[in-house]
Amino acid sequence: MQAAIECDGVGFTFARRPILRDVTVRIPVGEMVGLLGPNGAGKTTLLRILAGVLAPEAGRIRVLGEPPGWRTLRHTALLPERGHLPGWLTIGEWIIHARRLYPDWSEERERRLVDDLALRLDRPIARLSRGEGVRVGLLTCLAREAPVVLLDEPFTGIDLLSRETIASAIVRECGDGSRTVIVATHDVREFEPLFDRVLFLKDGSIAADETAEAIRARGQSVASRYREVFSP
Amino acid sequence: MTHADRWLALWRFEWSRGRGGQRPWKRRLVWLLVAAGVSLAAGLTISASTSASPNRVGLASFTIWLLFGSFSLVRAGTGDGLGATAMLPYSRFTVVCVRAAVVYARLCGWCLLGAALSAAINAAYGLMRNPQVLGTLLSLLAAAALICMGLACVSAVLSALRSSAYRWMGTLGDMIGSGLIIFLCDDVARRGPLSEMHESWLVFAAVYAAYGVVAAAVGTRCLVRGTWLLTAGDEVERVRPEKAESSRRFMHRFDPNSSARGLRPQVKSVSVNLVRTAMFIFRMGLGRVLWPGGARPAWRAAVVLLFGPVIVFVALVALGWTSRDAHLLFARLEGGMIGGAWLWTMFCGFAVASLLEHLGDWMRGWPVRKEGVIAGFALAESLSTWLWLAAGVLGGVVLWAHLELAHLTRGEDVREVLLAGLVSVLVGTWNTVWSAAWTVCSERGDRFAWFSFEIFLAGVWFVEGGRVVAWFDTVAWPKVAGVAVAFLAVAAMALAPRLHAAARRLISP
Repeated sequence: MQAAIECDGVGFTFARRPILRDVTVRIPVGEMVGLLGPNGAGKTTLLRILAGVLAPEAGRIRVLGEPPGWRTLRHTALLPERGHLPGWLTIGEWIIHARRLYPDWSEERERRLVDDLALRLDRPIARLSRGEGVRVGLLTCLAREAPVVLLDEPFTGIDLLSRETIASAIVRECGDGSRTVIVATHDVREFEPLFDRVLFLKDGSIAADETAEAIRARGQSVASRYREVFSP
Repeated sequence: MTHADRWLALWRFEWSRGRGGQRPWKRRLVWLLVAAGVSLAAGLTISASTSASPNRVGLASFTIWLLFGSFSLVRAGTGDGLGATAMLPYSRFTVVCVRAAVVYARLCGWCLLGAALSAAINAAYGLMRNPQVLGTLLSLLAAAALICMGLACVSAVLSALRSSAYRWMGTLGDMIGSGLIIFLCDDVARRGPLSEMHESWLVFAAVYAAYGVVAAAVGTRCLVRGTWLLTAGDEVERVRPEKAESSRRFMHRFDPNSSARGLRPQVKSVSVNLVRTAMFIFRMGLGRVLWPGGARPAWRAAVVLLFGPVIVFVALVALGWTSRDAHLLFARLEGGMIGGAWLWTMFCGFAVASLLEHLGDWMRGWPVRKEGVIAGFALAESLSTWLWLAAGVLGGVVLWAHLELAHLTRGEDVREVLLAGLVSVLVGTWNTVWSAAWTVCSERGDRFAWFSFEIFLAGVWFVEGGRVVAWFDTVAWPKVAGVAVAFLAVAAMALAPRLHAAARRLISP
């Protein structure tokens, strides 16, 4: 099966502290992968490197066959954990700009997502709550036809109802197997039924790489496997 | 989607950044009128105090107008950082080019408006066809076009540079741009006949434009590498262990439950409590001001810290060394020092307000008087002025010695320069606390009015500060002491309600 993402010995150091160490992984097209790990494990850094906004210091990476760089952003949609939305615009104004800025923007998906995520277009982005901000970020990612979607902590600080809305939007837009999705999260339970595969990242290295099916076959849940991998 | 469509889309997006979506056009018109009014008033004051010749009013007003643009438009261009743009599927080179082009277009528009204002003032004085004035205005425009190029390049990558090891490059570039405009203002307003030779303006401006291009190239590299993201997006600052330790000691000291353990400070009164809090916060903020690089090696932090003041010192001496006609800034060096301190400490106030915003609810949760918190951070921040003032004092002493040897002294002496340093420290410290309190508790519209007023006052200090110092130097010491005590009393009385209002605003924004 063709690989959407290939990492071979990827390493990254910041302020003399190793953030990622020898990360080697191959993710086929159409898989939904959970990237799990405690705080500071290197999940955000790995997603940034895959999206092409951060240059790795060591190793070889291919995203849809290309080395990561700004061009990766053409076919990769990244939902960053913090900020990165134009606070000086309203949601509606941002959508108008986004249509022009992203060559792969789908207006059909956009309309669907605006309804599903219950977004009010006249709301200034600067005044959105955390949950509303994530929804706008998610709209920006999922309204594109990008074959690779990277979601960084989509549930952090989100209330239960918003979580359900967000999760169902992700399933609807990415659940048909045409997109490769990586979700970095602490919230194992909400995403557990969706994952095809789980990567456990510990201190910058892949501690375990298993399919959800294999975990279940052992009579474990992803959450219990998480505890097993990360408990001291 | 063609290449041109993509550029156009990016241009529109970046253009929307400075538009200020929710700001109505009426407010923008008022903003323009206030800027024009302040520029004209400053031009009149400068002209009256130096040459008393009306042919400088329009030119000086134009430079003040440029100064406004360099502060406000460049900031508008960098608003909300780079995050929104960095995630777009465009080459980093394209992103930087478009950002710089948008800021440059805005600045050019601002320059043309300023030139029209200047031409109108000249016309009012009947100087429209004066070849000297017209030539100087055109030279100013040419120099401004080059300076704006540098400013635009620096502002395009300012956010990326700020979060990288090249932070100094952005800060310095930002500062030199404003410094060059002040230099133009000074050169236009100097005594004697209006010069027809302005090559030096163009040379300095061209060098600055080249600096801007280099800064943009370095910033583009930072963007490509992406390391700026590692610090730019982090809400929790990486603090050194020493800072965390001092914060722990601070919280322990003010822990309401510590009374049971006999550790609660013996608070005698509200004012004692306030002063005590201010002192603790001052000590807490000291490391941040004196050691802005965090975990950076000591020698590098020291170099970065000294770089700006050393450049000011060299520029001051270089410009004053060969001067035969009295420059506005150097005819009365003392005024320049006080005016500079005033201008600098106004920005220190912004820095304090942004720090308080950054601390947010953590700071609100401290069981201490918030007036003391504002005053403490502001006092620590005002220390950053001292290095600059030291550069000014040192430059003044060197110039004075040189001019004394060349028998060209025009009334300056070492005592006056030192006295000016002292006045600058006092006035600057007060202005930092005042600016911080004002910035915390004012609305955006009021803030602009206050900003204009502060710039106007800085101009007054530049022009009249020397006279104040000279007066201090002539009167007897007991009288000076009396004035100082009265100043302190009035300053404290003026500050108290403002600090109180700011503290209330901090608690319930």
